[in-house]
Amino acid sequence: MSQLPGRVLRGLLFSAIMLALFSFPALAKTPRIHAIVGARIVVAPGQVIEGGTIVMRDGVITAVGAGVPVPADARVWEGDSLTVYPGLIDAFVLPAEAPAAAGPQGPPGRGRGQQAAAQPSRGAAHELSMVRAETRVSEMAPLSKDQTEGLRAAGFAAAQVAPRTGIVRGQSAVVGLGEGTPRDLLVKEDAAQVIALEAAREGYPGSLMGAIAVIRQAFLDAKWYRDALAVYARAPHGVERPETNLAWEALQTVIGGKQPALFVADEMLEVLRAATIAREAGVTAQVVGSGDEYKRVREIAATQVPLIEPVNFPEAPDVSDPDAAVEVSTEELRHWNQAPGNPAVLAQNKVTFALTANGLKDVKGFRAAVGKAIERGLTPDQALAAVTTTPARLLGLEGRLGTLAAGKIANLTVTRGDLFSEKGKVAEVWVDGDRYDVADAAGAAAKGSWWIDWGHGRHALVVETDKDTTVRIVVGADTLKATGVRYEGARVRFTVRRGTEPAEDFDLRAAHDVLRGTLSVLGVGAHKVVGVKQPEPEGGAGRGMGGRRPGGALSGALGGPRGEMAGGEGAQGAAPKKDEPVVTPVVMGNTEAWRMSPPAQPTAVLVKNATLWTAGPRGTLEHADLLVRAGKIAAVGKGLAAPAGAVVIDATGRDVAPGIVDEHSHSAILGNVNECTNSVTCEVRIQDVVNSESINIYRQLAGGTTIMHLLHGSCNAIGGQLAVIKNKWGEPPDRLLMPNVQPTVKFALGENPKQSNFGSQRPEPPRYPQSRAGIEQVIRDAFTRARDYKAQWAEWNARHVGLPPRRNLQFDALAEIIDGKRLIHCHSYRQDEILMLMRLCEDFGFRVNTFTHILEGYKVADEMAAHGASAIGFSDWWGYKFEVIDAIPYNAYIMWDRGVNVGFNSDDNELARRLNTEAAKAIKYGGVPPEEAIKFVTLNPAKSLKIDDRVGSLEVGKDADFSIWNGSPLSPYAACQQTWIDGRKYFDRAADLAGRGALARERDSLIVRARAQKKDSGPAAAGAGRRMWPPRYLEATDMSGTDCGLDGHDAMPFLSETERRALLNGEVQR
Amino acid sequence: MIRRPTHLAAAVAAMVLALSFASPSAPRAESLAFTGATVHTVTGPTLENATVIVTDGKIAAVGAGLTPPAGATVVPCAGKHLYPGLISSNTILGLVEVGSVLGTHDDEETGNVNPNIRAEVEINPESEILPVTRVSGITSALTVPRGGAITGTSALIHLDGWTEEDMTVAKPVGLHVIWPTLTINRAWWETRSEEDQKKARDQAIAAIRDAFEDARAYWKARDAEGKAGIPRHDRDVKWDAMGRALRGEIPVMFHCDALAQIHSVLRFVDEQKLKKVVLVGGGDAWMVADELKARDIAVITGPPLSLPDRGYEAYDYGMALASKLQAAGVRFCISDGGGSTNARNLGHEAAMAAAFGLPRDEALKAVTIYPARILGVGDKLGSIEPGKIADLIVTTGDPLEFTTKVEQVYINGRPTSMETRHTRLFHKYDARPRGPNARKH
Repeated sequence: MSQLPGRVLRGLLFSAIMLALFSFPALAKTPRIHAIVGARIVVAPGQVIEGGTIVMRDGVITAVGAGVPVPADARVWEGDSLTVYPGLIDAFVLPAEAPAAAGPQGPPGRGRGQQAAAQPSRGAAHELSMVRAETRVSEMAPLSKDQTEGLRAAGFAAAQVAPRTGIVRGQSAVVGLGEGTPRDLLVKEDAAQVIALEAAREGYPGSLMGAIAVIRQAFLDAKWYRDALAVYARAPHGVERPETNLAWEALQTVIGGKQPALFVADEMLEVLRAATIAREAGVTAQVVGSGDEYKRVREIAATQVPLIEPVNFPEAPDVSDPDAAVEVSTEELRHWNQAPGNPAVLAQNKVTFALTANGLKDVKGFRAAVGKAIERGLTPDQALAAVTTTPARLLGLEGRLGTLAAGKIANLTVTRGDLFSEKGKVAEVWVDGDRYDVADAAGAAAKGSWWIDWGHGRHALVVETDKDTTVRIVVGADTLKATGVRYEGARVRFTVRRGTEPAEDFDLRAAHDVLRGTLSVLGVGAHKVVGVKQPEPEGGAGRGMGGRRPGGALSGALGGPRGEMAGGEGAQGAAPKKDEPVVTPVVMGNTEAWRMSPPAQPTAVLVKNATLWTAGPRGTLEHADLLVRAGKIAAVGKGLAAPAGAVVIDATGRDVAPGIVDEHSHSAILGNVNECTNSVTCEVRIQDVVNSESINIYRQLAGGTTIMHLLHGSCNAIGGQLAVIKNKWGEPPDRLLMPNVQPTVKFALGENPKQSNFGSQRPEPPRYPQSRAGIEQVIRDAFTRARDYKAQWAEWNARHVGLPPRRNLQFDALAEIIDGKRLIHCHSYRQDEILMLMRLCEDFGFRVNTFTHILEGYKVADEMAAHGASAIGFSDWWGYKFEVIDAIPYNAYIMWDRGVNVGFNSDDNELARRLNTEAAKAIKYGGVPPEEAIKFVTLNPAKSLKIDDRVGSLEVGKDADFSIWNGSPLSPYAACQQTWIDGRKYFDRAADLAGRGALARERDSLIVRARAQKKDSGPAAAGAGRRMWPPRYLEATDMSGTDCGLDGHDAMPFLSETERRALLNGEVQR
Repeated sequence: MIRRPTHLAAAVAAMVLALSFASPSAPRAESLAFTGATVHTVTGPTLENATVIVTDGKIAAVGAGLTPPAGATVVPCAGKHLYPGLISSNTILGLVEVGSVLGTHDDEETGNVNPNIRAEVEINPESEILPVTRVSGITSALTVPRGGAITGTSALIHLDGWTEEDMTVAKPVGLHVIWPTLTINRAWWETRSEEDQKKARDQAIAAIRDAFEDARAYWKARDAEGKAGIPRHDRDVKWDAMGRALRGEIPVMFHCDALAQIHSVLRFVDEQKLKKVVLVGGGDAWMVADELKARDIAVITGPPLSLPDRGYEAYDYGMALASKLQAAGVRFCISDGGGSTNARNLGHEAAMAAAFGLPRDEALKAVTIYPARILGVGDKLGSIEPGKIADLIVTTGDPLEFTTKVEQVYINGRPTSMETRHTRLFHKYDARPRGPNARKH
């Protein structure tokens, strides 16, 4: 770190050069010794000195306290109307985007070139341009003057600046927000390695799970690099030289525990994900949050990862038009309603967090936004800590920043009034002991209403800088809007045109409520202009603070649903500042998983007198009972006695079936389901992107489905690693995953991996393979390499000679596959390719586990039975593309008849809700007996996942996963009434129906409130957040096997509602 | 013991052979008498052990104790059920064969204003999808072009016949208008600004309005021709095609789902003074049920087997729509929302609506007599009544149940082939020599 004397020296040198080159310097050797006296000094959150003095010398605080002597050489500043805070720190600032940045635009993962596009050489940098760990903000251009001034105007004196682009983005720097050189302002270089959980805009990785694989691989590589270099350094002679890789080099500080990894999350689930990645890699994590962490706050708190949280609270959704209001999601309304409470919730749950202005449209709105958070229960001290002591600690600068104490850097934020109060104003910011008058910020001095005169009488001039910079001038009856408005400090320039008259150029400078300058007209000459500030109108102040009208005005409009409102709403006017959100009923049918706590698990449950479809050797039992103890099936039989304390369900006239197991689902995946860039991508893992918030989980529970096998798409021959989850609606991702399940992987054959139906999305040049034989070779090649990889490790483990092999996540998975430890679930249609894969795997000594949504299995049923592969198909899908032209609904019957383990899957969010009726189609087409047909969606898919020892039938010892129906589960007239998982009731139709009224009333309240607020604050409140809705986990994921994005719909001039909804629900192409 | 499907098929085939079966069906027998069946008339009471007499392709008599006319072919149906054939009210049958193969698509003409596109001229009678649909008991289908905003006129076709002319029951049935979405899309993948989206939707509605107004002006001028010296006007195929809908002879069928769209359509209907209107889809139609009832606007619903369109809606939103409309007294029928390869599952759709509140008899009507009435053929199809076309299915029970076998399908009083691409492949591979792991029969 640069020492102060050095810094001063360099500053002097710089001045000397400037002096030599230009003119006599205006800032030369003014002493930098200051004392602010008689001020209210907030030394640290909760520690206040009234009428205190703070002394600074050469950029460092030398004394703070009441009655501290003022040095004789100090310049004295009267502070009697001022409050002095530690200089605020924004712990996450991105440099303002350069205008018209080069490179592809648009959302991530949507590039047409799905293969890694040819990158310009980056020397010894990482082969993926998204891995740029060696980037150093300290070597980049400093923040622009505008951005620095803006941050200062918001009260910030220092900032951690992070790189903008990439996944492993590079190293941040902490800088002072003064006006010196980058050398002067740098406080700490390489403060953190910044890592964003996002896909590349073009090329690999094209998905969130791909990005996570890239991050995991980068940490593994960094460790290998460390070890390989050590081996090489010990004895380079005769040893292969490890490659030089600048990114791996730069990651050494992170894996060595000397530098935190600062993850950038787009939504709260990614906070959990980042914590997991960091734990696995053994690195220290901090996370830039997304403002919705209140949702899964318990889990987030448990990670103990500190957060840097935005305050870009959303504006009220536009619900002015009742027809359009129908389309506004309840989740969006609720988030708008609750987002300002996020910081308070974090504080209450003891999460360490800093607050950042990042994400605000205008940083000037920062303090007002924090004010909103305070109204929702964040204490002012907690708020202050979140911009002083906490960020100082996160940045490793607690010894130099964050409080006002002798020896610390002289960064101060000086206000009139309380920092976060509505009336408070930042008067000045001190950076390194230099005073910056915030009023001097660009445009601020000229802002307001003026009377100006250039010798022709008085004209009104209005200069606005809040939202847009606009200047209007009133000449006679006309109000003219100026063009070409430019601000430079207190100077404002603009042009006014009146009809066809020549342009009139104003150049004015504001100082102390006086405006002076010139008006020049081309070819006419110049006038002197003088202006004075118009008096402020009364009551005009509140606007910047969002114009809240809590309580009174709002509830006046509310009418009926008072019961759903927060307590205290009735006590209008009593505490007018407290802003209470609408309370959300936590009832069954609530569409937000995170609100739901796990249902109770009774010690025993007895379901009495039902038709029990056991799907086991006992077949279907009439008037039978099912006894559950501690989440497991304890007995199946007639006349079972209810143990003490058992929940007894009279199921007379009802049918009970095992929980449905969907072997092929994409229903709860965050981000793209395809890593579509390469032909082999088994390094990516669905388990990294399980979306616990997907409403599909609940909807499928309502159809009796209890287990989903979440599949990667079919975009490539060897896709990603898969995950088995139980539909335990409400649980976070890690608790949805079924433990101790044999790992699985997606393969795909035919038209999708050879990209036959990609149309305009087909990459140019085409990706290999483009034929079925090419697919066979891709797989054979991958297995061959994996065999070599295993051999390399075996050799290394035996002899430890030379460099250690490099661990590769893709080859790890491939090695598991050829060892038979990771089971293949292969997307397959045609018989030739089914046969091909079986024979190929036999060549490598293992078997294909399951052909998923198989349609031509009936043509090679005997071969499949001999090979031992399961066949989980579509019941009756056909004809949607050429390779399924021979699909027949008798497929399942023939395969079953020939001794194959057969089932039906969904591959579809809707179909997944009624797989029971799919099973019935095996009766319709082929006459499979009902007690066998029910197994097609329960026991048989469980067998295909090798979990049939735990689930899939109603047999003693198995998990108590079952559903209750008001008719035969094989009848389309039956509706699921209850669904239980592990002996807990996760769905109850009666409870769902009962909860609908409360949910409707809550929605009405939210809409009334949003309408009131919108009216109140005008169409666009200053400082409101960037669009952050919907979060990715609520967006439809790409359901298709082939689509990697939605190109082709972009320019659609005409969109029907059906098409719009199809797009929203995920374009389905299989 | 396993019921082998081949046995059943053999039994059915034997019966069909007796009826001089050919594909498509042979010239009609003079007279047919279905005897001993449970006859589900749909519009009247269900008759046990009853007889249905069919003459020249029409239902001649229905009742217990009827004597078959001399020379009539008797179809013994003891223990069987007789239903009217099901009607699928929104499909692309005959227009598209294989989804991903563009050469097989004729459903989407380019351009926004295509009133002159006629479904019946592009129906492929050889489509493999038609028999696959038919053998599940669906005897007729509305086939709808869907390119652009004004997409053309639909035709109601029988799912059997040598040519389009054989097959077509009614044409044109309706003039179809796919209403543009009015919802601003804020998803991340939307590249257009809100302004551009609003502009696009306003332009789309303006294009529809312009077409209706131009067509009306055209017909005004045409109708005035020859009166008081009004000269001849040049003809326009597009505006010619809109005449019947403008005059209220056939309905304008507006495809719309969202509340905003439905309101917008109703305003348009008022503005254009349209006399006959049907909504297709109608996801939010229940929200304006009273108004639809008051205006006697019927709804061809989208598929009950569909997800809620909005995250906050109850999980059974799609399944419950029909029952909400029925309870409110709105005329409705159930479609599968654009039936194609799996149009055969129409019965499943209706049954699912029944599982979520629609009375079972209403579910059956929603795929028989209700679509017939809404499509303007209530006097010809949809029930077993004298005078109606003899589209009949012989089943082992409720045709909306999966476990029911549809044993024989009659169209125009003729038995139709129960063979499909699927049964052909089934029989071929079922006969493949059995491997060692096969089940023992």
